[in-house]
Amino acid sequence: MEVAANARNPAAKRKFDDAVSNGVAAPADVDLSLLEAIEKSQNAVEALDLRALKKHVLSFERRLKDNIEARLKYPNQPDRFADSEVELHEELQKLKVLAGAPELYPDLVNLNVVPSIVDLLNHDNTDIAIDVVQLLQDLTDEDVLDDNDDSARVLVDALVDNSALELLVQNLHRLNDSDPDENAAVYGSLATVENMIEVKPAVAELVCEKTKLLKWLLGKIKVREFDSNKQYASEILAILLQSSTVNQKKLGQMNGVDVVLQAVAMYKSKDPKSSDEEEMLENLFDCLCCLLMPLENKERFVKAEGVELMIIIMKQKKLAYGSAIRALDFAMTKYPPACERFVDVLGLKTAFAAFMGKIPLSKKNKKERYQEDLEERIVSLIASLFGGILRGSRRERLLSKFVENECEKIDRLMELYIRYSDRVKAETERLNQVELDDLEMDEDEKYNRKLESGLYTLQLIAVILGHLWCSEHPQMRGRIELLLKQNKLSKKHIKDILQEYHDNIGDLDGPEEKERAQTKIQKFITAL
Amino acid sequence: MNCSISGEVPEEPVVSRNSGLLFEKRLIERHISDYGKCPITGEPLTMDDIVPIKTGKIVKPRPVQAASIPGMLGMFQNEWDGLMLSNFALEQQLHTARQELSHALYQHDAACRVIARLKKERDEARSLLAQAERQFPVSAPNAITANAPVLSNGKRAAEDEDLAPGAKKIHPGISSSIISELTDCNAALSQQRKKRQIPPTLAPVEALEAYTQISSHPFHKTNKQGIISLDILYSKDLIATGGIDTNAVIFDRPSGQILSTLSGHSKKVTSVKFVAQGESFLTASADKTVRLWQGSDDGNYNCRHILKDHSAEVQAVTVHATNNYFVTASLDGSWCFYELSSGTCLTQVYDTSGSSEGYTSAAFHPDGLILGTGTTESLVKIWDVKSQANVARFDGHAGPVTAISFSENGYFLATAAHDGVKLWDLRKLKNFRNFAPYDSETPTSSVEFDHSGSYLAVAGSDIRIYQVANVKSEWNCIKTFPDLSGTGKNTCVKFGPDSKYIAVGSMDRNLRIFGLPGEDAPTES
Repeated sequence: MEVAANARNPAAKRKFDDAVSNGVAAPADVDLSLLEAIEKSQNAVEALDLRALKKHVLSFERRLKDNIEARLKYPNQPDRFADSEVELHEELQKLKVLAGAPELYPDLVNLNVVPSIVDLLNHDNTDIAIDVVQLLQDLTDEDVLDDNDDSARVLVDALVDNSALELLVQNLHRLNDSDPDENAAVYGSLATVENMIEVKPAVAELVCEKTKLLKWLLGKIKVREFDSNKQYASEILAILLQSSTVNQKKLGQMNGVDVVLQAVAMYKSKDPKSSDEEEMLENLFDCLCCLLMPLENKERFVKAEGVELMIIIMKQKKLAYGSAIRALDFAMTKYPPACERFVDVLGLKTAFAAFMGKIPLSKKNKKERYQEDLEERIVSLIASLFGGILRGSRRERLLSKFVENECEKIDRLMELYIRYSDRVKAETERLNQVELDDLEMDEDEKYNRKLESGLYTLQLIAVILGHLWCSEHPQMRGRIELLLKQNKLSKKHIKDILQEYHDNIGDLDGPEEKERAQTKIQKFITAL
Repeated sequence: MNCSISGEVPEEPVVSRNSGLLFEKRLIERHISDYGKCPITGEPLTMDDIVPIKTGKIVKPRPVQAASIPGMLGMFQNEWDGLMLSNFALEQQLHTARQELSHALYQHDAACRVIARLKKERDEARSLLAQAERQFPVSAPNAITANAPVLSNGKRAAEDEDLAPGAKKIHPGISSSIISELTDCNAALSQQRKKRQIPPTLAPVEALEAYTQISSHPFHKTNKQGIISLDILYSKDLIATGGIDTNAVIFDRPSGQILSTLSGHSKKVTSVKFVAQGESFLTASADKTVRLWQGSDDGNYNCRHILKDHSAEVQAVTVHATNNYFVTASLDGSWCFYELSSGTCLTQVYDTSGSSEGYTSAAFHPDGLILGTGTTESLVKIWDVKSQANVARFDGHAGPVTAISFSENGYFLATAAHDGVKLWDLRKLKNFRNFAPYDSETPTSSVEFDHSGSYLAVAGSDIRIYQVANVKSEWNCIKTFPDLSGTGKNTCVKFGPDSKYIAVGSMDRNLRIFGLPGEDAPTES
């Protein structure tokens, strides 16, 4: 009896002890992990405050001073200052943490460290310059900035004031594409410029005014082989041209039209091989279209045989087909010599084949929207032709195109007219419905909505019909009347569209141009 | 002295007279009352045999274990052990009871959840039932709406119910009452034909010889050109065209306006037909469907039925003289007989005599009891509509039979194929005349008698008009219209009312009207 009792007692005690120890251990683990989390968060907070910023800047300045001293003391003995260069490199890497706190950029500028950083772009050691490029790219990256526009602008202003743009472009000339690191630095330099333009659009003009970036970009585009930096150069060039008329004119003076045309000509008989290359081709055409905004550049375009090149591209029916039509439309708008050249080099046949819907379709651009875009572009091109060619044998040739094959082109024109008319009508009803739902929308906004939904193209079609009617060709007039009657329409419908167009002509091109355009439209309205 | 039974010191000692043994009084008395004998010796014993013994006050002796301190410690340890063991047992019981309680609570909770879920499901079922009851009265109107007219201009018509692929409908067949209707119609028309005279308003030969193009109308899309079917409604002078652009267009010639553009087919429209006075309209298409369109007061046509009995391109549609029935012919080797009002296929006929070629053309005889069909294998088959039996076969053509036309005189049949036109005498079931107006490369697309049976039009690389004569006389070509489309292919031709004009469709987008110049001067283009 006693032995059994004694045997049981220790077991009972052991269980109790185990329970006690288990209960104690678990809370301890949880507490420890909580403590660790608290410590980590404190560390993160500490890295972003002003004191840490000063610490990093001070450390950088010290390393910079050491490096300068070493280079001054031992100018011809690399082994003696190599260590300080490595330390400077490491310090620049550490400065990249500043990208995590864009709200501290004003403080960074106040510490007067920007001049020191920017000067390093001129450093004898290319590796140091590359480090600085990466640092600037990180600091100005759009993903980093988020909602800190004001802070970013302060930084960009400081960079501009300290000649960062000039030094970046100088550095571009120094870097060699064959080296992978330097190749990445070229990309980084371009990315930095793009980031700065993103933050402060005025940089687009400043960089072209103060530096030779345009020249470098043109040289890059001339390169025959495709690589990612060539693509990026075309993108930067497009951005610069889109933001500034001054840049467009400046590039034109630098023979930019010819260079872009030569770059585009590489693809007149073969398609880009990759999607990046396709994107580059689109960028080049964007550059070309922006270049063709100023009138002087249209002249250069014609002299450089740009019209002929675009027609060749259209005939080849490659990927650049749609873009070529777009470029022609830009070139011929309000520039009669381009229209005349177009007719002289037999462009009408190619253009009207596109007008009749004979558009090359590949698997990529089989979307209906692509076809409609091309349709609208072609209508705009033909309207430009009518606007640019007012008399003479060229006018006769243009008009005779519409008589061919029993006025086939007029049938097509009326077909498009009815389609866009229905679309605008539907949009108008929708807008009226929205207005009935007590949403305020002024007349200008409604007009813009209608323009986007097809009214712009409809107005161009009406202008073309006006031109055809005013030519007083009996067969064309008869065909137009027949088509209107057949579709239960009348000339009044066209008159209404032209009247609306007439009333809304803006004076962007000056009051004199506005009056001239209105006079022309009024002539159509009177004649119909 | 100890009690012989209990071994303890007795409190009231008694002695047995017989055995002399010492007992506790209450114990031995009970034993005697129960058994009547001595518990030790077994001898009989009575209450009189026991003798109480008087003794002095006895102190109970101390147990041996309590005589020393170690003994007492041992006793205490034993007591403690016992207590602990019992306590442990109690704790075990407590734990077990608690577990049972928690299990019970858990099961209770689970049961409550199950009950809640079942209630929820019940409520949902009830609400669904309520909704179903509410929706049930609406379902009947929905069924009607399923066949409701859908605006056709530029919008796709509603689709009829889809059948499972391969599933075939059961066709009710042509009933006796329908056969009676057809027979009565045949008798009436046959009677009329005997008294038939050429109307005085018919255009004379001299007028046809002077015909020229008086108008050209672009009805179809410029980027999908081609008019491949044509029909004219005499009473209202409406012209209908079917195009490669998947649209059919109904044109009011007097006003010069398009009444309606019928969209909905997904492939070219191979055949178009007006019904009666134009309140209904039929289109057949390469998309294997036939659409029945209902006219409305504003001139628009709405798609009312989409008929999907054919499994290949539908090449022809023809309306019976009663205007209550129509037939469609398809490349799937069958023709279908439909009731117009309901859009129901009454019967679908395949040729059971072995050949399985597709049908390329079809036309009713003017009196309605005979159907003529052309096939891809150059055969012309004549059917009896009542029995759906093939009653005659005409061979001799080369290539698909592209067109078939009965004359209003009732016994002339004209067919067109690659090799030209053949004329057949239905009274003798034989071919009596052939025209080969085009070279071997050019097929003849269409052949058409005019309504009076006086003229025959042929479409190929140009348009030729022949004057109808009898079996033995020569049929003269009185007019040739050149191809103005530039495509070299005229696809269809039809005479207007009293042959006052001729409408021509070709492989461009224009419908051309040929007639006397000056009559339609305003529409000349």
